[in-house]
Amino acid sequence: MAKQDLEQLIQGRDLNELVAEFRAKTTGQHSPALQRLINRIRSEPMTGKLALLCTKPHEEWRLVQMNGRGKPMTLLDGIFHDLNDAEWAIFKLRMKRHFDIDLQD
Amino acid sequence: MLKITGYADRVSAMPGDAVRFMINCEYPAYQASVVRVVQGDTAPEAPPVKLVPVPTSIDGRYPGRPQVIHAGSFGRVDCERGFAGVSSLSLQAMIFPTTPQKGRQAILSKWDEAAGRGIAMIVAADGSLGIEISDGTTRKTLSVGKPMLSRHWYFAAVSYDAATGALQVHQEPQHDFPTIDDRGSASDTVPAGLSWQSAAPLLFAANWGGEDLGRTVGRALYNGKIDRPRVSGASLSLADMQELRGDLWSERLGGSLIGAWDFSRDIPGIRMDDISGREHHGVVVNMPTRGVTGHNFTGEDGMCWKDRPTQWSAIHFHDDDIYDAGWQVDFSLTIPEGMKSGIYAVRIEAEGEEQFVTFVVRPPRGKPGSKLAFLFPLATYMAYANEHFGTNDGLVELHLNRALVLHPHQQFLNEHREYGHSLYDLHSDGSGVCYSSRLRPVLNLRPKVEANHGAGPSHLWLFNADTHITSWLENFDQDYDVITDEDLHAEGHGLLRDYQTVVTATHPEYYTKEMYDAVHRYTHGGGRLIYLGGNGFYWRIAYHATQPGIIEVRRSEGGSRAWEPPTGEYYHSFTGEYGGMWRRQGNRSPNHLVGVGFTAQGFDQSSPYRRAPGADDARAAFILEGIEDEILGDFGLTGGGAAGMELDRHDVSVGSPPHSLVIASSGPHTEAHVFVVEDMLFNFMGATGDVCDKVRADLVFFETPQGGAVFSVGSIAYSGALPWNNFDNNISKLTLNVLRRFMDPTPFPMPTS
Repeated sequence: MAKQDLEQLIQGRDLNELVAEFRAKTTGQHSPALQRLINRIRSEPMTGKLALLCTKPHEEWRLVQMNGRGKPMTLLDGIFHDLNDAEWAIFKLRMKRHFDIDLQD
Repeated sequence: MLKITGYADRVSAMPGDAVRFMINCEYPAYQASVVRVVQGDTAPEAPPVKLVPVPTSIDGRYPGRPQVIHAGSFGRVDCERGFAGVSSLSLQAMIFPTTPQKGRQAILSKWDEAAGRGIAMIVAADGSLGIEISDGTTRKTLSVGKPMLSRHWYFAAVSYDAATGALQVHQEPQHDFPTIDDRGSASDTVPAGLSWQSAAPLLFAANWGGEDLGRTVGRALYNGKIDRPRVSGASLSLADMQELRGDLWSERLGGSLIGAWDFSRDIPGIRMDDISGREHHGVVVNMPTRGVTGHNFTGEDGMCWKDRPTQWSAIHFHDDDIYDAGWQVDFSLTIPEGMKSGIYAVRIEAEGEEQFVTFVVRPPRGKPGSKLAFLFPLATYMAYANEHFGTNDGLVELHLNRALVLHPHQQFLNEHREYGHSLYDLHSDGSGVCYSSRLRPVLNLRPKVEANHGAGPSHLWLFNADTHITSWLENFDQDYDVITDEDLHAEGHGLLRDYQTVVTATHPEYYTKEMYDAVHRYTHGGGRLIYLGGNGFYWRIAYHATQPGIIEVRRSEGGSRAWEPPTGEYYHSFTGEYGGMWRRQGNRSPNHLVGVGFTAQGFDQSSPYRRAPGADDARAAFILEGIEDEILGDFGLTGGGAAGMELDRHDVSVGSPPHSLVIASSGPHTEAHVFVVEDMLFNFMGATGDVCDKVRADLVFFETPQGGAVFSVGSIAYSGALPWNNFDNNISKLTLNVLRRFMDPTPFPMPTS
């Protein structure tokens, strides 16, 4: 996705602030610009979608890539013990995938 | 990947009834036992899981064995005598293929797949109509070579002349389009007298893959509609086959017919009637969709199949339909006399893997064991059975407003489509799933299971979320019976009559007319109903008259729906009743029944309620007795609040009784909670929970005739607040206040004007 699309999504807000907002609270009500941004990057089709597979109930989640209806998912590197950390990892990967932006922890 | 799955032949049983359990276990052996399910939430924030072991006769170790499901619907006609002496053959139908590019699919066949022998009219690998013929040695496939369009009607006809060896294939579109070249014929010659006869029965929409433990196996499964199939024991000309397209034909052609099937007969049943006079009637297998429009549907002669059945003379077959898995029985439990009514599960354990098959023990008919009943919403559990929310549509993540978290059963179901779908899914051809059966493993109807839609920390939906209610009841030593709405459908008001109070589950969404009327009669006859959920009493459904354990929904006209039925397919095939939301069925909105109706949904985070003016009414004093808080339920296991997921609002204009009191209302909600489409005739902005005041749950109380009453919470997340802080919180106290007053037989007086 082109950089100008990102500008359209965040409409003048400081991207670093939005990233910090997401890192601090991944779920629930977000600021309008952050919500627009995550709506856009979460609109991935099922084929190629990043998701999580729960490997131990309420304890462990594995990063996966969906490969479409009926097709086995691909297990990726990335094991998490906190859903917020997992959300953050997916967010970073999508910022790279969609906008070629590298985010650091 | 799961290696243990199972199901029971019935979910509801009373003492003396036998429940048969069918288990697929890829391990050499497993241990079986019975538990009573009280609390199935495994979240660390929840009270400890409570599954109470109950010794029964089935306790023990059993050998494991794999059991498989043969999905895919088809029609079967056993008419060997009709084919006796027949060597030339013509096969024809009107067809509406929905996946012509899928590969080889049988439309009408007498073909033994294992032997590679028979004759069949097929959708060929190239997507066009074809004929396949083989004597087991000489095999020939001939196709038109012009791919058919998906979801368009074609006249399809093939023939074999045993005298000359001539093969004919004719593919005629019902509508011609410029730029589309899909009309054509093909001919070729194979040896005369080719011996295509085989042991295969005549099948529609499949080839015969043999018999497996009493089940017919379909192969080369066809997706799409078939209308007016005919089989003639002669090689007919194209003109003769065109004459047979209709419902009347000359005596000359009638003489060679082996069968002519009219699918407009017995739409609610499983018969396929032969109208040729040969009596070669058949049956459908795995419940293909009936009551669907045929090639001659006009839209001008009524919209219900009962109006003009001849326009609904089609059946829609799907390669992933499943009705009865038909597994072998592994063990059987006869419910002992005196076994306490409740929710139970058979627990299967092997090599560290655990699986459950849930069932209900109800009290003997007419002999309640308690004055309180929990109404187990089996129909809604069936509607969601084996849902594929997390693996079918990528937009689910926008629905949830959080990352998609999949669980092992969903990983399994994504790859094992033969386990069938929920009423929220699409078939492999993109058409909506309108039937759901419980005669198959239902992997999300068990304790300890998580789901996509319930928010954290518990992440529960439906059955396992409902154990928040049963654990709450037991925490306060409330004795209760468990009864299912499937039994309510069959037995009506009599099942409820003797209970002082009935408590619902978190999401009793799917109701038949019989179920709705029984609850209505109960609340209008002095009964007390506590509706502890959201988006209840929403969709009208139907049960099959002769086939147990299967429901139907037609998501007609409007509502928050996973798919839209095609025009002309808004009426249930099982009953002829108009499908859709109860709100559109005339004075039967959920608001009429429980004072609130569906208004919004969102699945990220829940919100609290605040006291509303009705809280100060003396009629409601018992509800908030001992509670001073202004804010109610700013905590919970489902999204951190008592109001969330799916919300109902009080609205007199939609049917809420004018005297009903709004005790509390929730909000604001997150932007992910969006106003329902049925109230949004034009799209408009400002329809999300952060700005729209109709995105709220209303907590409502009202009196009903003969001293009865209804209390509704209008929120799926509500029950997740009950166990919070070891059941010591204002939502728990409020609900207990209601329950105790409702269990007091003192009549509620109707308010005066």
